[in-house]
Amino acid sequence: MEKPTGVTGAPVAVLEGDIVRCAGTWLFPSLHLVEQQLRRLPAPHGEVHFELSGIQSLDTAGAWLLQRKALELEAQGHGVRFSGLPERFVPLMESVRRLGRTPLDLPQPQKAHRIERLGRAAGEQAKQYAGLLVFLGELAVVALPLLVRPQRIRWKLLLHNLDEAGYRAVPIVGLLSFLLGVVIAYQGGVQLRQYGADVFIADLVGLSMLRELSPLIAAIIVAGRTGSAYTAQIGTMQVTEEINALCAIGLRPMEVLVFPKVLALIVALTLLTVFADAMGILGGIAIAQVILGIGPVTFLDRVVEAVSLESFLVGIGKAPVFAAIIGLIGCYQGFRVTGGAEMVGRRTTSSVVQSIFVIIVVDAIFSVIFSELGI
Amino acid sequence: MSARPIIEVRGVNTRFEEKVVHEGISFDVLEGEIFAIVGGSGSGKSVLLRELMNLQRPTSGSIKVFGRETVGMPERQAMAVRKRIGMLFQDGALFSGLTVLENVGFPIREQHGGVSEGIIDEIASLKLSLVGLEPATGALFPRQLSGGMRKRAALARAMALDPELLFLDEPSSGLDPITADGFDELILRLKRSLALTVVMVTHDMDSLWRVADRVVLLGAARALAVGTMPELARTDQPMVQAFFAGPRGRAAQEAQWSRK
Repeated sequence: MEKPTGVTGAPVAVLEGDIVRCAGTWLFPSLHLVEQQLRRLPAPHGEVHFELSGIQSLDTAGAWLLQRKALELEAQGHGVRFSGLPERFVPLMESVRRLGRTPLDLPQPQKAHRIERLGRAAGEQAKQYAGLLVFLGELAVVALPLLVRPQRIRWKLLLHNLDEAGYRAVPIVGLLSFLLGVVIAYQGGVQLRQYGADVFIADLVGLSMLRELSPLIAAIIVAGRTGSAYTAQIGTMQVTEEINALCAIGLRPMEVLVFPKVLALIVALTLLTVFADAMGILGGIAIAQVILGIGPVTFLDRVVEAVSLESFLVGIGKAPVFAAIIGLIGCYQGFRVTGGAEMVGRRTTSSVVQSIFVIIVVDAIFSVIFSELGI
Repeated sequence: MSARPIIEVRGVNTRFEEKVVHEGISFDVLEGEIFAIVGGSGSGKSVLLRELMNLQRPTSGSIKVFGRETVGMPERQAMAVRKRIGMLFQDGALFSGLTVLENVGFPIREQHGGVSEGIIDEIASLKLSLVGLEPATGALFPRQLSGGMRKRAALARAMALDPELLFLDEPSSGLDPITADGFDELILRLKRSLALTVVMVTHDMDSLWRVADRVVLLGAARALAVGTMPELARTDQPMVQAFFAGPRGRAAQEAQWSRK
């Protein structure tokens, strides 16, 4: 291939009689110029003769444009002849002429109709949720015997996961639920003060945090933090065939990977929710003291009165369900990774989105059930 | 063929903290030849290749590519030099989010804006047939290709901008012997028709005998020997002997002889 060493001649292709004189540099950087020149050539009569001796440098791109023009002319019924190509470009031109004999029919990417795409996407989603149910079933088959004989549980793995998913999440869960308590107390406090109902701030913060918001905020943080990590870990293991290696050693990935993760998450999220409850209340106390002048003792008295044991348990009771959802979806999406590394990223994203979506749907269902039951 | 050196390596030293990888390595790569860098695992072959490509800087020494010193070259100039070099990475390193055709067209699209889309696709498709792939392959994604096809597609991308210099990192690794032979043939054919200079890192004895014009053997952080394969196979130096005259080396040599 020829390099642009000191060659500055712009590419030229002009028609003189029946002869197209080509000269200059026919290289990638001047490709658009070559294209223009060739397009502007007036329609010739009879045989066309390309006189190429003026070409100073030529690469595949230039050679292809020449060949392309020749094919175009041949298709219109003109004879085409090349002459005078400098010796050093002959092998290149030969190979381009050989490979590009017929106009290339490029594979056109098939675009489905909008409605077809919608249908396919819906079908894909339905299949995913069905797959999730199958996954839950498979996990249950592995989990039940383990729960009956707990000495077969891999405690070390469980503790490791508990540390990862629970202990290390304490600061972020604590901080965010504290801030959530602050926000609610602040927004509510300003309104309540107008009616002189200052002390009900404790009802507001206590009930909303314990019943609804703490389980939700803790679950959302854990979905983003741990659910995604589960997907990425299992997905990477899938790509590097580590999952197959586990099977080959005679271990069940469900038992070694999924069960300890889901169980650890159930324990961790429940504990984190209690902690989030406490921190939320603390945030409420801080704001009540600062803007309403209500002391901590009064505040806590009010909380104990306003928040029944049932309300507290309703909040805590949701946590294991949320945890199971996060763990299941995280692991399931990890196992769905096929092909290369880019799928790991995609599955991780869908793992988090799907977890949070399902958690909020389930939370809504819980609300309906509890209000029907009158709890 | 003129014997102008296209790469000149002089006294290159590379150290990673305490570990000495290269110590005073010198050799030339001549224009139009296929030059192989060989050596045991961990002998710093790939590091050397990255240094030649100017993706990594040696601790000291000089590397001239196209007659210009690349060690310590400002990034802008280094980019200009890299544009004239094509690199085939070991596992292809095709962009997984793009189709094969888009992968091959990618360097052209990025480096040469004004060219119309249709022409870029045609050139990309031409490159695919140049490496022996069907045009229909262009519509596939890299994960849908077999190992051999992936290497070919990656080679097409490395050749997209018509480089003068082609770097191949373990071109035949992970390929079955027949596919590897096919790949060797392809490299020879491309070198002949496009007047390429090729620098390859390889372990494959067969491909060394078949395609390499000259070879540098790395060992104990030094360039143990530089020369043609028959020259190296004849040396008495024990470390060189160990590499080329081991059972694998001999088998490859015999295979080559019987072919002739």
